[in-house]
Amino acid sequence: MSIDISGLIFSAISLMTPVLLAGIAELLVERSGVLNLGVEGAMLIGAFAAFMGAYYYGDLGLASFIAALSGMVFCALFAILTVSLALNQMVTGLAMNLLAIGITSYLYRASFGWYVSPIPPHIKETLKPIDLGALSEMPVVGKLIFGHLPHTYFAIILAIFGWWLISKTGIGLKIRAMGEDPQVADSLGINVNLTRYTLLLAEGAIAGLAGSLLSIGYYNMFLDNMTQGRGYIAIALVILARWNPMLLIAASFFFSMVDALQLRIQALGLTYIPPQLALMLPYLFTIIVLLALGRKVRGPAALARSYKRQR
Amino acid sequence: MSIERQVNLVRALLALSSIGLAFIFCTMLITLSGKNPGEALFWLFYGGFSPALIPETFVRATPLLLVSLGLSVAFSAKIWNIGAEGQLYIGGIVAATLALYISGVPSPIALLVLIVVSGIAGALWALIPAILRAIYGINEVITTLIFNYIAIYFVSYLLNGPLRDPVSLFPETTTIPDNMWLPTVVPGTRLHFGVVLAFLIMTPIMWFLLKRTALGLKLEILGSGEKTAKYAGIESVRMIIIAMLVSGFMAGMAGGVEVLGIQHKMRLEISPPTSPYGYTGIAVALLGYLNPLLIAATSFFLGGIMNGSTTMHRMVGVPVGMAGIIQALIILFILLGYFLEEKLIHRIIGGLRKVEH
Amino acid sequence: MPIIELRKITKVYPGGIIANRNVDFDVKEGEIHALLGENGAGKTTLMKIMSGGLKPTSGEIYVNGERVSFGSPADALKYGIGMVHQHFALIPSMTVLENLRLGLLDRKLSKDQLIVEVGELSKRLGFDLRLDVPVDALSAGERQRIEIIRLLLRKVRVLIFDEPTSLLCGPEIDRFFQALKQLKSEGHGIVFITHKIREALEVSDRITVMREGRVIAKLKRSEVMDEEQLVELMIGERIVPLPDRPRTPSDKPILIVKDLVVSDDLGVEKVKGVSFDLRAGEVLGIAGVEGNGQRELAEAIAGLRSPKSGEVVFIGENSGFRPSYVPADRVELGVAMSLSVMVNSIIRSIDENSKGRIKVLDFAKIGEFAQKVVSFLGVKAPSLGAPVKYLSGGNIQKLIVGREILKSTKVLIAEQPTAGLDARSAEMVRNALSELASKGVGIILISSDLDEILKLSDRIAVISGGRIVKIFERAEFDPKLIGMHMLAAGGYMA
Repeated sequence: MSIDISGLIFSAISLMTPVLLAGIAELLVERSGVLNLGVEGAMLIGAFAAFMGAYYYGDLGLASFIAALSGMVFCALFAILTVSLALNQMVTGLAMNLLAIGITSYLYRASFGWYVSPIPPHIKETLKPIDLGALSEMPVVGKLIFGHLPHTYFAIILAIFGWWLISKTGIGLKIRAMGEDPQVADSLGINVNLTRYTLLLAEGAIAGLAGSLLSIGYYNMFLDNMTQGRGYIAIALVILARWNPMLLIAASFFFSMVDALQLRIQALGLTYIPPQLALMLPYLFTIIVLLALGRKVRGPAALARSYKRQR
Repeated sequence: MSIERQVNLVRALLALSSIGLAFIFCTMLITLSGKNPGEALFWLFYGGFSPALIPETFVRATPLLLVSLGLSVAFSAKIWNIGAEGQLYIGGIVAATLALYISGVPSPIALLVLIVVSGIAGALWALIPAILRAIYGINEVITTLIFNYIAIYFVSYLLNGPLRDPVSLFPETTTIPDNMWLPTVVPGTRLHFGVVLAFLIMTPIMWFLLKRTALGLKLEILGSGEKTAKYAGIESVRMIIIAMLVSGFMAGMAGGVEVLGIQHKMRLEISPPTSPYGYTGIAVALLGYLNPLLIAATSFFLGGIMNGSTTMHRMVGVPVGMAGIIQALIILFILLGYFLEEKLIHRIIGGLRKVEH
Repeated sequence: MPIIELRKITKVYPGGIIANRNVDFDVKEGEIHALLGENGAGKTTLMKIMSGGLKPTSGEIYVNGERVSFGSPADALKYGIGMVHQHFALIPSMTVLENLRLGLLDRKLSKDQLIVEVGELSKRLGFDLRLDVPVDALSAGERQRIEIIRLLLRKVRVLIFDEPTSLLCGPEIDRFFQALKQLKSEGHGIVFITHKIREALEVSDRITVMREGRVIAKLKRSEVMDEEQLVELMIGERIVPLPDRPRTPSDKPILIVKDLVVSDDLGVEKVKGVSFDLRAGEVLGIAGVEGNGQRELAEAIAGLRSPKSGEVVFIGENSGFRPSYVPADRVELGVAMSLSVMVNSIIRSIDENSKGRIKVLDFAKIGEFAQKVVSFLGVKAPSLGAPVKYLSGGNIQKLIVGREILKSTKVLIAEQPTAGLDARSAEMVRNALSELASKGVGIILISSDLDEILKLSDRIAVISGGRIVKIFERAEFDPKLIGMHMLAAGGYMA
């Protein structure tokens, strides 16, 4: 049994893209003190919207844009409920995810007929990697780094940007402050609500884009609940990365390595490692690391606490 | 009118409004897709609540009720156990497997043992998230969600592999022998003993636990604030673990009861994909204001909605996913209701002064 | 011309409490102005009005002769008026520099410019600020310096300090006063609210004494002859009331506290080695201005806070014993807001109110007790089943006090039991406490109301700066002397 290591790494980098995108967006939101479980739903909405956009308009760029927009609207609703109305963040996020599952399934069936035919509707073309010509011929590095979808590079740049934003800028300082103690932040004149809204809307757009990767990037169709908990994994990875963007890149990478491994295992048809157990590996991996890190996990002090401005 | 009456009245109104608003939204969706909403809603309610179909609604409501009873205990302490789905699966597979091994044991005892063991299995599945939360403070929502995925994949592996029925085309266990089936309570229907267990035995027990014992009170105090809990001398760590284990137990039991009473084997589709019991249970629990007696009613209601949407799908062509949308909307509107409740009541009680927080 | 002047300021809170009555106050350039008074005298309210945190009910504010009105603390800052509160607006997990950057608001400074300016300010004031250290590693004195620098960065002209030395010890206090003198010499106007007479005399140029919302005296430092004069002004005419009933506390101690050291949530030591004993049937009054460690002491004895060192021993009880406790923090600690009045009457005694191995709640017993609690002090509740959150603050308090008194374990700790209650209810509470004592219960009464302590206590322990500075027997009660200990006057310990 031989496993092509560089091929594995390449897959891992590809696979990590949606999780890293959603993860970095969620990381920033959580640093400001909000726990948005709805990132999972935003991804699903994005996946659906992208597929519909691609199917009906044939333009993948437009489809991606629609995906980002839909994700943003979705998270805007979440923002209204949890930031302005200060409802319980966890239950709201969960309910929004259920809503996302329901609405995407419903609208999908409404568009393509109530009984999905043997071959589900699919699009002809999926997203193509950027062709950098000669660069991909570089000896070792070439095959690994080049040849990915633009989203992958965007994800990594976004993560680095996130790191810079949080640790090096004044805005990042304010975000961190409100994540620790929104009351104090407020008293220092920081506009907590506005910042959280902005971060949530941005997260919606990014998560929508991440979701689009699934339906018009890796696959060419939409399936019910196709995100399969990747948004939740992103949240778990943020915890594992201790809310540090650079560590998040690493965590997403390792997680995706395990993911890529299980895909290989399935593809190779190895009979002595059953496919479902392989599927289970990434999730198991996450829990084991959480157990190992144990007490060291301490997020922003005000995370997930409902906050209403006291006047 | 006494203040409790007023509070209950306001809550009932808010609950009904939530349901109403959810339906209005769905009506819009149905109309948008070109179907006749009136016809659709008729079939929805017919499929769930027409006299002939009520037994089926009870059957559908049973696992919902069991799960939600467990959730009402956890949620009262503000412990958000989202892992009921996984716990249910584990309970189911344990029940199905064990039933094949203990078929020699006399029925009533065997069945009781199976039910309890499936509950214990569910509780054990909740143990690690419980510890991670109680001792390390790691958010239980995420850990239980991940455990859901682990459970489903693990069970899927078992059903495709070691525990698979050798003669079946599908990934499922061997059908369990007749004497391991929960007896039918009303001939001619599918109403099995599990329905009785859920509605007539576990509901009063859980109500009693939550509202009439020291444990229930301590959980509620924990839910009202950790500082107050400390003042009252309540050990948070113990309470958190108990809350998780109890809700895990109930979810596991739900899985076991479904297997023994309806499915008679373990399959992946034991929980309807468009409206999984583990998640629908959350809506049921919240709609019932975390009160077991009310939950019995709301589980019946949402069970009817679940069945009704299948009918609606068959007769009018509206996708079964509608049930999922309804529940999600109900949860959201109920949350809004919690928010509005205090404001409304403060307005209604003119005389009493507001407490300054 | 003073920098800022308050004329005829009156502040009435909703509910009728008059915190300030026709107060005149002003701050001049280059002066340190002390605002003296006991708890509840109205000093903090007045300063909050002056710094924009509160709006006065009537009266006017003038800055540099111009009439102004502050909508918020940010407004006041624009006029150069800033206040350092008792609870610092700092984020403990972030560094000093980060916290300073956060507080900059409209001033646009680059990080380097900030470091330079902070460096200059620190040098002038004699501070030694380590910029890269997280705030939670710093002492209270160091944190206070951050707040001072923060105000100075905003170019304030008037700095208001609310009980600034309450969190400081020995050498830090001296350094603080040095800083004040430096600021004064640079032309700033400084107000410092305090109850410690000795400190007021040490640094101030002018002293204003307030009592019960009014200004009692405005003095120049040179006009003050001795500390006794100030104590009299602050406390007013006090006579020791006759004891309300003959009480003979036993000689046997039921609680022994030895060398107790307790820290607060931020790790600051608030109780610095306290020892005393409590006898059965006695009321031990702990007199002191709020913030001198009473809260932490009470929590430690009640079992809610683990002491850093020292012991708390209840004679004749096993280790799990929890005394009755009326906490100062009513809403967050004392009741479960969403639960009913009935249930709240037993939240500290759940197990005793349940029966059998399954611990079934005995609602008959609970209901009976709840009824007693409600009738006892006249809690106005719509019914026993009403959720506590719909009760007014005063009624919640009566519920808590009633509950703890009626529950009567051998020891009761009552922290500010009558704060916020109307006169009649307060009287009822005091009578109840007396009666409880005559039944043999040992009571620790923590109160900043000197009259109350004088009336009820068999012995008075004065707490100041986290230490018990003196214990008076009833025969020795002397309000002025007690006042001097409480108020850190006449060379008594601070």
